[in-house]
Amino acid sequence: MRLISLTVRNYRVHKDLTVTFDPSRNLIGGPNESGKSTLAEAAHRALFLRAKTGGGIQKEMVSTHLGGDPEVLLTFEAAGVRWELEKRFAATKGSTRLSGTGMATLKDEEADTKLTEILKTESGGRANAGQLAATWSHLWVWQGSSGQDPADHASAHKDTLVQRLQKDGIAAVMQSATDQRVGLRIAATYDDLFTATGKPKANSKPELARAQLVEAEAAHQRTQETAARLEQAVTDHARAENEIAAVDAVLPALRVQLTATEANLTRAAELQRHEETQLRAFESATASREQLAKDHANILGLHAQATAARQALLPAEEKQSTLTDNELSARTTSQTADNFQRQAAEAVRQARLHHDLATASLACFEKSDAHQRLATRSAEAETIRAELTTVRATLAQLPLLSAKDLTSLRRLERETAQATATLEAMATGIELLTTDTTVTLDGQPLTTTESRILTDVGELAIGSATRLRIRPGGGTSLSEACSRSESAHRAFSAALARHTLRDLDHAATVLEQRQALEQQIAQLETRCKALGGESLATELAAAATALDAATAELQRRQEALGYDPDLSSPANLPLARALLATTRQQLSQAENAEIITRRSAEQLRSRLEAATQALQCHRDQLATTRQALRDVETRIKVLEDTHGDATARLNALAQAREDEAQTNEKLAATRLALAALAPATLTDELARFQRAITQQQTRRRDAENQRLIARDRLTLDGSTDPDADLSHALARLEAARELHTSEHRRAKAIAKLHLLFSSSREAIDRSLVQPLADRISGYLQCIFGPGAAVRLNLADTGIQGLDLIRPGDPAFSFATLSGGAKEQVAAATRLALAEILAADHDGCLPILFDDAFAYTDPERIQSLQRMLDLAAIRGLQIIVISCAPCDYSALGATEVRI
Amino acid sequence: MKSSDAACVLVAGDMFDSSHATKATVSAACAAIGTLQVPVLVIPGNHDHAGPGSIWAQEFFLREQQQLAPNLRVLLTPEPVILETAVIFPAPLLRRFEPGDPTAWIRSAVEDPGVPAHLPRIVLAHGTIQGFGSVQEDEEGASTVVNWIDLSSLPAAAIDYIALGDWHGTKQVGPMAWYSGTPEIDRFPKGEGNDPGNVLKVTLSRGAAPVVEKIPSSRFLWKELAWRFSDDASLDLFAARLDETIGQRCDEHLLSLSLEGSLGIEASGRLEKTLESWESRLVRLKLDHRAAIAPSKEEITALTQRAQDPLIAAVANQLVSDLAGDSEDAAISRLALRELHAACLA
Repeated sequence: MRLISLTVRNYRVHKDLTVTFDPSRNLIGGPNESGKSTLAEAAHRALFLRAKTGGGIQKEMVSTHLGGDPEVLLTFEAAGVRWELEKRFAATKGSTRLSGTGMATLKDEEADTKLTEILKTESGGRANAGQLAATWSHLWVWQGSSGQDPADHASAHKDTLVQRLQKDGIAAVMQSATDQRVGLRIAATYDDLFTATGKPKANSKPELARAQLVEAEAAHQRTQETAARLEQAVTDHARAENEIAAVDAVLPALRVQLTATEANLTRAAELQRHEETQLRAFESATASREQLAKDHANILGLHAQATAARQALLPAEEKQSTLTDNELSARTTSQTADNFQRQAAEAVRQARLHHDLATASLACFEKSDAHQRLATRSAEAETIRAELTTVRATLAQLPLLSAKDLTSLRRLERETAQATATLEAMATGIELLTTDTTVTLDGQPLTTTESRILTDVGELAIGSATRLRIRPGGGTSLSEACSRSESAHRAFSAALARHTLRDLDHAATVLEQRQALEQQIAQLETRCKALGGESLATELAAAATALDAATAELQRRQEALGYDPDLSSPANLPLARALLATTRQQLSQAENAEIITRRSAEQLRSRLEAATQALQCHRDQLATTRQALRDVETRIKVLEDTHGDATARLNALAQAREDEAQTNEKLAATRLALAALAPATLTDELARFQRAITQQQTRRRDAENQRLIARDRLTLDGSTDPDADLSHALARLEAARELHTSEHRRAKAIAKLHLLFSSSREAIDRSLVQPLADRISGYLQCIFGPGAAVRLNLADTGIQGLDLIRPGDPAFSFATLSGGAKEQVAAATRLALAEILAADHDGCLPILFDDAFAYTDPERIQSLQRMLDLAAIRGLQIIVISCAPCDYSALGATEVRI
Repeated sequence: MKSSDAACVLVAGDMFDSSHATKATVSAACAAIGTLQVPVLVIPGNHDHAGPGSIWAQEFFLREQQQLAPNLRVLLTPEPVILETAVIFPAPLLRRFEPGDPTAWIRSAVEDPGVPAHLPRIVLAHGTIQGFGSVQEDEEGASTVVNWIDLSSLPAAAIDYIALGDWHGTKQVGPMAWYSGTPEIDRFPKGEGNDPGNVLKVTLSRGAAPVVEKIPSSRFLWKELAWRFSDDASLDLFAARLDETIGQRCDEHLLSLSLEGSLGIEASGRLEKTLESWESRLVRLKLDHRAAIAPSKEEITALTQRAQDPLIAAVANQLVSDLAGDSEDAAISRLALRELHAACLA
């Protein structure tokens, strides 16, 4: 099928345009909006859109500025015939006309039917708006769709492709209808057995068989357990029987042994009672014998003690007499020494009294001197104080004025003089020299040559008509100077008045007098202070008191010694001092003598005390020894009164020994009999036999219980037969197991078949599409160089995606390619598809690229032209629409410019 | 029974298969015994021994015995039973495994002057006569022979017949000693000369040799058949042999069928159908099916050489390559091939 020419009338921008196609290579160029794509659309719609199509799609075709219905006239060659197809798109009035060379013209429905036949498409010339886009979409590359995944086209045409390839003997064999039927049947069986994820399906035969098996296993397990319980009961019963028999075999012998042991125990108890009685008798005899022996020994011992004590008393008494003599001699010596000591002490006391009197006498003289000196100083001080009072009175009569005050007065006087001078400097002098009229100043007539001083504003009237205001100094300064002068005078006068002064000279005289008087006062005060000042009177009083005290002390001491004060006292201070020295020496001598006598007396007293203590100690010891002897003698007497004399005691002792021997003999005999019975083990034996019997009885009772339980378990009511149940369960289990095995094996067989069908189908599909892939690769090598290839990916539904493989690079899926590469790979795929499909169309199909390489760079465009040229060489009719036709100058295409 | 004119019926143990027979079984047995007009004397065997909980002490059994089978007498005590026509020396099993010889007591009992001298004497016992036939381990793990009947120790001159139970086949084991075997066959026969399914009619008089007649009594026929398939044609021969063996009385037959060899796919399918039919016709078909599916050359060719159906051919080829051997995989492949074959034909 090949396009020959296309004419469009009243179609969008075209009023009437005819394009003639080259059989192989066409290039339609023109600027944007020149209607290039409209031509592609018009040709497609002429071939496929129903002429009576209305609505939006029809309205789009109608030109906005030209009148008339859109018409398309397409001339093409197909099945060896040249066809002229004319379509008028006018909604319900639309029409189709088809005429082939040498054939009658067909119209509308007939024409559309014929067109379908020629084009070998389902919709042919009567596609509706919805179908239009999908029709020939692998050959008509609309603007903007060049980068779409071409795998969909390949998938859509897979069957046709495969048939085509198979016809050419290129492809492997294709699966038959039987293949499909059998495959579907296997798949259906598989689906009955397995879920989508390959798990066994619930309620499928193998699963039911498995459930049955589980159930049968459980039932078998149950019946087995029941049977085992019965079996256990049989065993238990037998064991219980054996147990009972065993117990019955040993129990009688144990009972005999128990009885014998009990008899022995009774006998042993009796012997033990005897033993106790005899033991008590023996012990009592022994105790009695021991007591007698002890008493006898005791009495003998006491006698020995008394003898020893008496022997010891003699030397002690001799020693006591010696000690008494010693003590007496020491006492006499000590008393003599004490007398000496008392005399020496009296001598010391007398010497100290005389010494103290001399001291008091000296003190009396010294205090009297001190008092005399103070009285003289006091009189002198009184004279100075009287003078001071007179001078102070003179000072008080002068006005109170300090040097500072005088300075202040001088400053005030200066300020007053300055203020007056200033005022006088400002005053205006008015002097009337001559006049012929009355001249008055401040209302007071001014006479000729009279001169007045104006210190304030004054009015000068000359005659009746002329009045002059005189303002001395100008401005306000005159009044300010007046005011200052007045205040200075006032301040100075006030200051003088305050000090009751007449004037400044007076003030200077007063200040001079005051300063002379103040100096005199200071001198007097210094002298007074040097004499003792205020404390002098206190000191004088204290000296008088001390003198009185010393006098009293002297008097007291003289009285104490019984002296007449007038005779015994020294006459003056040096005599008193000489007396004191003498008495001090006498005192010192007396004290030394007293110390010597006291030490001697103390030593003698110590000696006396030691002698007395030794004597007392010895006396006590002697008394104790004598008392002990008396005690021993008393005890001997008491014991002999009780136990008799030595002979009697020895007889009693012999009797006691005999009693002891007899009782001991009896006790030994009893003990021998008891030991023969081994009473300690007897109790254990009894306990042992009792325990053994109890154990055996318990064992028998347990066995009886167990037998009862086992028998009870074994006695069934006849509602079930566990043995039969077990064999039935086993039979059912075997059947279930067999069924399960066979069903599972069949399921596995089906799964295997299913898997083989899937994998084999894919292998076949792959071998079928490989030629397509080879052709695409052939085209791509024009662009990407030798070694470039595509791989078509297969899925159950057909071809699903393709990968571009270049030497040295990993495979890229179509989706991951760049925009340019997408366009190129898609174009190669379309060309390969078209090439294969063209075989059904006399070896040629038109393939149209409308601005299909927008992303392709200029270099690739050149390689691309090689690919397009290859397609043309292989018989395809290439139509390239481009707004940049010069890019395709190397294609060598017939070019149409619009 | 009627034709035999027997004076009494002796059952040498195992009248019931289990000590815990159900009520239905008990009733059926008692009713059947009740129809016999002569005394029926039974001893417990190892299956229905008189141990604790035994059927013989079951209240229901005793009631049914009283109501349905007053002629039934269960001998539970090892002591002579003097009938009008004979003296019975029973050796009942009072437990499943009786250590020693249950007939030991009879050795002296036959000398008892109280035993009528003119009546024939019958020992009724249950157990094995082969010294090591029934060995049981006791609790200590030592082996003891149980239920062992020492025929040689029984005084032959003082006894006229020894009726034995335990073995399922009819067998004479001494000049006057017989195992009657089970009157109804209850298992597929084992071994040569095993002859179950009979009763023995024994005619006795004191001091004379017993006259024993074997009477077949089994209603159900238990057959065995082993077959090896050599080729697909042997399937028809097998079918003919089956018809011949069973005949028309399918509902009386139990068949133990053992199949070996191999068949083609189509023949295997036919065999399955044949077996399905027989399984439903027979009382029981015990099948030991070891006949393998071995697709014939033609079948393999038909599946693998399909120029027009490449997919089927490809799948079949892969399956055929997996057929060899006895592995589970090979078996699955054979089965898969059969399924494929069936799917192609459907």
